Parts: sequence; C-alpha cells; structure tokens
Amino acid sequence: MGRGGLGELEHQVMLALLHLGEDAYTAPIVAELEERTDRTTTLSSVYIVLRRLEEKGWAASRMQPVESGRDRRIFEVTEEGLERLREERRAFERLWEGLDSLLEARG
Amino acid sequence: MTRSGRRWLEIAERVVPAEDRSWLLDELERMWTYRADRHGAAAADAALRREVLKFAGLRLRDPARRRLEEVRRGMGELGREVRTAVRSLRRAPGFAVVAILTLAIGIGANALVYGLVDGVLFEELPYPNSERLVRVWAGELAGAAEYDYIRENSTTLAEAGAYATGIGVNLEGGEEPVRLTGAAVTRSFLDLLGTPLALGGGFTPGADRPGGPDEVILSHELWASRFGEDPEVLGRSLQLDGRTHAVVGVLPPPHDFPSAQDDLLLPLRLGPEVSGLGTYWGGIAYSIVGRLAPGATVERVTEELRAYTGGPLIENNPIWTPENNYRETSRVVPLQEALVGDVEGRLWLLLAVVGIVLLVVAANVGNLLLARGMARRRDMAVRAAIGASRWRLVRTQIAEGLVLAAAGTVLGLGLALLALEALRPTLMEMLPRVAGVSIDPGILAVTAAVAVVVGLGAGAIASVRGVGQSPALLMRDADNSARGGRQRLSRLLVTAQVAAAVVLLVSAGLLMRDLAALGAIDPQFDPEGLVTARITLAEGRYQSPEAQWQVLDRVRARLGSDPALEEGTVAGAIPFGSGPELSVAWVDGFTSNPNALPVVARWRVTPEYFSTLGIELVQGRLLEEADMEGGAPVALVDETAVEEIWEGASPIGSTIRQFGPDSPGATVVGVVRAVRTAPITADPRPGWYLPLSQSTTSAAWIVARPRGAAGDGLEAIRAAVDAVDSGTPLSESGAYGTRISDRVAETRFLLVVLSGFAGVTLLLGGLGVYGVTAYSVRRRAREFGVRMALGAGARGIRTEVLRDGLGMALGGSILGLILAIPATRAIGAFLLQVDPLDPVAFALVPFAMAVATLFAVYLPARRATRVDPVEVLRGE
Repeated sequence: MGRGGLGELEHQVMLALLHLGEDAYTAPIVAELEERTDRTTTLSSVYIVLRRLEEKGWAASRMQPVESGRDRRIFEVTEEGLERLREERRAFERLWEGLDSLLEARG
Repeated sequence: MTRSGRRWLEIAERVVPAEDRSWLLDELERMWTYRADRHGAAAADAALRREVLKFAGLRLRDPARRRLEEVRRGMGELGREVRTAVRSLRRAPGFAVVAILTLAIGIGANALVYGLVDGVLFEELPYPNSERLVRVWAGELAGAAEYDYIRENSTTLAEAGAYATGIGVNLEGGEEPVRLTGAAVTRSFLDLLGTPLALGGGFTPGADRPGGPDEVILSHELWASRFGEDPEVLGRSLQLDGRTHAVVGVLPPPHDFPSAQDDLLLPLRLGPEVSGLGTYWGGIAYSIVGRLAPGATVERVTEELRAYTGGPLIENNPIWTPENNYRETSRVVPLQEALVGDVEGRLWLLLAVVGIVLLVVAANVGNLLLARGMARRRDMAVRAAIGASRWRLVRTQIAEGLVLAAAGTVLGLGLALLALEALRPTLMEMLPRVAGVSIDPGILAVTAAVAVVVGLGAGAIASVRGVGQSPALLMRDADNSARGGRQRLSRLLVTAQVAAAVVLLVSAGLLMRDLAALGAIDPQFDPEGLVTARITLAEGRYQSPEAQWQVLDRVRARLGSDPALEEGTVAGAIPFGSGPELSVAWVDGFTSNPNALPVVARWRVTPEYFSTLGIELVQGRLLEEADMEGGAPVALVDETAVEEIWEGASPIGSTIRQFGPDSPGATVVGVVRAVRTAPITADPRPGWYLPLSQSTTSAAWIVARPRGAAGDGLEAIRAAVDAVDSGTPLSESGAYGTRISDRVAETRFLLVVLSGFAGVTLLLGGLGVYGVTAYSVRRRAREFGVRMALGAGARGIRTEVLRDGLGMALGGSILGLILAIPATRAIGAFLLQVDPLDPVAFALVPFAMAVATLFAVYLPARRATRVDPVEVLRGE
C-alpha cells in the first residue's frame, strides 16, 4: 500500500473518527468499528492503523486531559485526510454507478 | 478485572511501544471492560491476550526498534532485573515474607556461627608474634619447682611464665565488700606475652617472689567501674583481703587470657620459701606458658621436657614423682590451640549444622521460587515468544533469588547481631575468646558471598524447568501441560530436606539421650534441697590457721543453731565445688615404692558434713566433735581408696600420711561411700577425709539444708557469716543441684542449639511436603473430581494423597538415617554416655518424622476429597 493508497481498515478507522468526533479515543474507535461493521477487530490493529494514518498526514492526534484520570490520546481526521476520503468516495461511487438494480434483484 | 486480565495487562506493559505506553495501557483496560460487559470476562481475557501477542509481534517486525531495545536493555539490565524482581515480589507479599524469613534464619545462623569460628579459632591472639607462644605441661601436677627449673635451664624456651586462675579476693573499702575474681601471674608472664599495658609498668621486680610488695593490675572493666577510667589511678591502692595493694597497671581491653572474667591480676609468688612442701614440689599445678627461643619448635621443647625424667628434678624432689612422669605426661601446645583446644570440635560441629540448615533453606526457597515460576509460565512463554533468550529468562529467576537473598541477608545479619549480644554472656562461660567476637567486615563479606551463592542456587533451581521448553508448549494452558518435571525436582528437594532434618533430629536425639543418661548418674551423695555458698576470709585479718579455724567454727555453730536450717556444715572442698586437693598419700604397711604412690583426693570436713550431704558410712565411725578439738589425728577413707590402696583389706587402724613416710600421719577410723565429683562421668579417685580444724583454709564452702525455701537457706548462711564477720563476702551461692547440672551445660547447650536447628529444618521439610502435596492436589483436582463423579470413594482418594506425601517422608527418612550414621560419628565426640548408634534415637526419629508428615499432608488430603466435580468440570 503506497502513499496514495487507502486500505480498508484505514478507510473504516477514518470514518469512525468522523462519527466519534470529540470521543475519538482508541478504545471507542474499536467499539465503533465493531458495532457498525459487526466484525471483531483488535485495538492493536487499530493502533497500528492510526499511527500509519498519522504518518501519511491523514490523521492527527494530541493528548487531551480527562477529568478523573490520566491524559488520553485523541485522534481526528486532517483536512488532507478529509480530501482523501472524498476522493475515495467518488471513486467508489463511480464504480457503483449502474449496479444498483443488479444488487437489488439478486439480494 | 480478572486476575488473568491483570496479568496480561502486566505483560502488555512490557510489549507495547514504549512511547505510547502511558495511554495505550488505559485504552487496553477500557477495551477489556467494554468486552467484558458484552461478552463476559473470559472472552475479554482472551481478547486481551490476542492484543498482547499482536503487540509483541509488532515489536518483532521492527528491526530498528529491536536494536534500540537491545542497547537499552544492555544498559539497564541489572537495575531493571532487580526492579522487576522487587516489583513482582511486592505483588506476592506472602511468598516474599516466607522466603525472606527462611533465608534470614539460614543466613543469620551462619553469620553468627561463622563469626564465632572466626573470632575464637582463627583470630590471632592479640600478642606480638603470638604464634611463638606455647602452653607447657611439664609432667603431671607440674608445680612451682618445674616452673623455676624451666626458667633457669630451658634452652628451647626464651621465657616462661606461670599463672593460676580463679583466684577470689575480697575488695574492701566500699560500703559492702565485693568478691572479685582474678588470676595470679608471675612478672615474666606479662613480659613474655609482650602486650603493653593500657596504663602503668606492671609488677615491680621481686613482686612475684616471696616477701615482695603487694601489687595489683586492674582489668579495663574494673578500672572503668571502680575508678571511672581515672588516669591518675596508678599509685592509688586497693584493700584486698585485708591487705593494701598498690595499683601498678591497667590491662588493655578486651583481655581474654588467662580468662575474660578476670577483674584483676595479682603477683603469683613462687619459691620454696613460701610455697613449702607439697606446693613447691608437685603439689599445686600452676599453668605454665612460654615463648619459643629463636629456632626452637614445639617438638624440641617437648623433647627437652621429656628428658627431665631421670634428671635433677626427680632426684631433688623430696616427695613424689613417678619415674616416668616427665616422659609420659609432658606436653607442649601452641597457646592459641591450647586456649581453644576442646571447643574447636564443638565449633566445627556448629558450623556443619548451620551449613546443613543453609542448604535446606536454599532448597526450600528454590522450591518456593519453582512453584511461583509455574504460575508464571505463560508470562515466560510470551517473553520467550517475543525473543527473550533463555539466558534472559534464567536471569529473571536468578534476579529474584538474589533480591530475596539480599533482603534475607540484611534481616539475617540483624538477627545475628541481636543473638550475639544476647548470647554473649552465656557463650563466654562456655567458649574462650568470645568477648572479642564481633560481626566484622570479613564476616559481612563471607555472609554476602553465602547469600549470593544461596540466591543463585535458589534461582537456578527455579529456572531449571520452565525455560527449556518451547514457547508453543508453554503457551498451552500451564497447569495442564505441567507434567512430572517440576514435580520430580520438587520431590527431590523435599526428600533432601527431610533427610537433612532426620540427620539433625538423630543428632539432637542422641544428645537428649545423653543428657538423660548423665542425669541418671548417681553422684553417691544427695544434693537435693541443699544450698551452698563460698566464703573467703580476708587473709590480712586472719593470718594464723588457728584464727581462720575459729572464724569457720563460729560460722558452723551459728549454722547449727539457726532454726531456719535443718543442718549445715563448713568444708574445705565439696563435690562439684572447688575440687578436693590432689596429692600423693603414704599408708604405713600398704605403700612401699615412693615413686609409685597413689594420687588421692583430700577432703577437709567437719563431723556434720556427712549427714548434710548424705554420704553413707560403710565401716567404723564418722568424725566426731572430739576429733575437731586436738587429740590424736584421725581420718576417714572412702571405698575407692580401700579398693585401690588396701586392696579390700580393712583400713581401720592404718596410718595415712600426705606426701610420704616422713609426713605427719592420721589414724583411719572409718570408711564412707566414694562420691563422684566433676566431671561426673569420671570414676571417683581414692579419697580421704580429715578434720578441717587440723588443716584449715581461708577459702571454705558452706553447705546447708534449709527447712523452707532455698532463698531462706541462703539468707541464713548470710546471717551466720555476718554475725561472725560482716566484712566477709559470699560467692557462688545457690542451690547445690545447679552446681551439678552446670557440669552438663555443654551437652545441654549443644542440645539446645541442635534441637533448635533440627526444629527449623523439620518445619521447612514439613512445609516442603505440604507445598508439593498441596500443589499436586490442586493440579489433579479435575482428575479427583471426575473420579469421584464416577463413584470413587473419598477414602481412597484421601489415602492416595496421604500415601503420596508419606512416600516422600519415608524416602527422606531412609536417606537421612543412612547419612546419620557417619554424621553421628562427628557428634560421638560429645557424647559422654550414649553410643553414637543408639537405637532409641535412631528409631524415634522416623516416627517423629511420620507424625510431622501426617500433619503436613492432612490438609491437602482433605481438600482432595472436598473437590466438587461439577465445579471442576465447569472451570475447564
């Protein structure tokens, strides 16, 4: 996966970040993914992806003070990341064009 | 969070990327809670385990990070291992406390005994060239004559000195007279030792010759207690036994020769003029020390002394000298050896005992670590999986062993220091040179070395298993994959512990039997209910024998009329007190060879002596009051004398003389039973009794039978003495029985020490049996559960567990009994009455061991049958 490519888990994690907003800590991300995709994943995988997204500049993080507890690392999608998501969505939409009837008929 | 979850989180701490550790662990914990809420704790645990393994794998894939880690690891390896060990021990306080206490006992005992061995046996005497100092025995009963002869004629000794110990004097001038003990020494004695005094120049020339000035050298302690370390003490004087003694010196502290208990040194005055017949020649045995002449050896001195046989010493001797006296009984021994002579064996024995205890302690702690290691197999497995080398895993175990040993050493040394101070007064009575023993840096070093070895040993034992197996195998459920390996090693260790306990128990049993046998020896008189005290008259005040006897006779009359006493007596010597004088005797018509006269014990007594001590009359009559008031001199003899001198014939009417045919004689009027005296195991020497009035003494014994308590009796004695001369102090007062039991104090001391350590090893062995059995029961809980579910009886299972534990004890006992056979040979030297292979001691110990084992395995056995099959199967 090169600099330009967006892996499936990367894609999903960025979407989860957007859903969670101010709650985008690592454990809630895992929970969000598991609930929305109905598949299990691991915190370690998510952690690796988050770090990779940061390296690519699509996500950013900072330590955030939390009442009654230690600081937590919170993640968010960068402008560049948002742009990449939009691009990805357009690519998928183009791919999906004209397939709606087919899917509905078989499903 | 579950325990397993917590454990995985601890592992995670070590495998997650260090830079994100601070927050990542929290997230993992939250994740666990989230999963536990949804899917249950077990699922959360499993998921956490997957997380940890994944993080571990992540690290493995990152070569740069791994290199960095290795460097960092190399840097802080030791510190980190130690910190890790401390942290993990703090999480198991019960285990840590037991292990540290166990180690402290083992290490503390070793530090103490090693300190004693070092201080008593190896520490050089505090004199210049002390290896050239020797103790000299010039024939049996060497007296002043031998000493003078050696000083004048010896070519192998550069200098010789004589001393006599246990001299009691009364220090007067204070409110109450005080009884002090000291030694009398010749001037040359101090010169030849070569130690400068702390103060003063010592005895003036001639002080140790008849008619010399009265002088005294103070011990450092007496100087401190009586004079507050006054530097002006020289020239002041002490009132001793009614005579004024000038203080001419202060000994340096601590001194332990002639004896650590000496309060002062007096000049020992020797010479034919004062000593007279029977003391100058062959009468009183003085102790002689010498300094080897240049080039001389112990052997050469011995040869020289032996050559005295047939020389002028025998020719000039006016009384008695066996022909072979010097040839057969002369002995020369390095002073250091002579001082520690008979205690050396005892100290080595103690060292061996604490060594055994230490081995048992190491085995025990090793076993504890081993059991702990099993609980951490998964931890180990993960660490192995993420690339920790086997060496590194071993190192973790060893670090734990070392941390425990270090803590045990600190505690053990503290215990040893406390024990040394607490025991020092007792030890000083039993061992020489104890005053100077300390736990010094040398001992600290040895103890630390011992601790390192024990720590390494215990850690190594623990790491033998568990690190050699493949991670895959270890990853599987630890309890089920733990097959026989650990069990076999544990069993071996426990068996060895039981064997060690058996060896010590047999030894202690032998001493106990010996003590019982000693107690059963009949001393041939009855000390029961008697009290004794020693009275020493101030010689300055009562110089003539008549004056001394008058005082003693008045004390005697007071004792006789005191309503608090049934009876009381005054005597020159009593059995187990200061012994009777030994000298040769001449019996008209029964002895003929002046060179082969019998050595007899001379008891100077009063008529009521025999009834008070319960000494039976066998033939003739006892002493009577008339015998005390002049008239024809009479004597009694004992049965041993009748047997050896009269060879069974009646001695009544014979004339017995001290020393030889020209000495004054006494007519034998009766025969009494022979009493035993110290040492109680020795056969009684021939003895004879004569009236105290005819040959009196300034140092006498008082024996009384109180009607009431022993304290009242002693008070009555005190009152009787005070009524006659209130300036006379009493010493060595107490119940008569303790005088005799003190004589077996050595055996009792060894017994107490050995039983103590035997008890400790027994306890450790029992704990070992318990631990292994309990572990095995836990491991087999499922099996037991299933078997019981299938109808197996609780009894069968209980028996199986019991048999299992008893098997270990049996194996250990058999091994221990085999090892005890050579071991008891070492203890045999200390047994006075009992055979080292005493069957009772050998038979009782396995019995005791079996009882102890039953206690140890009872709980696990019961637990085995309380297993609920349903519970166990559900847990799987």
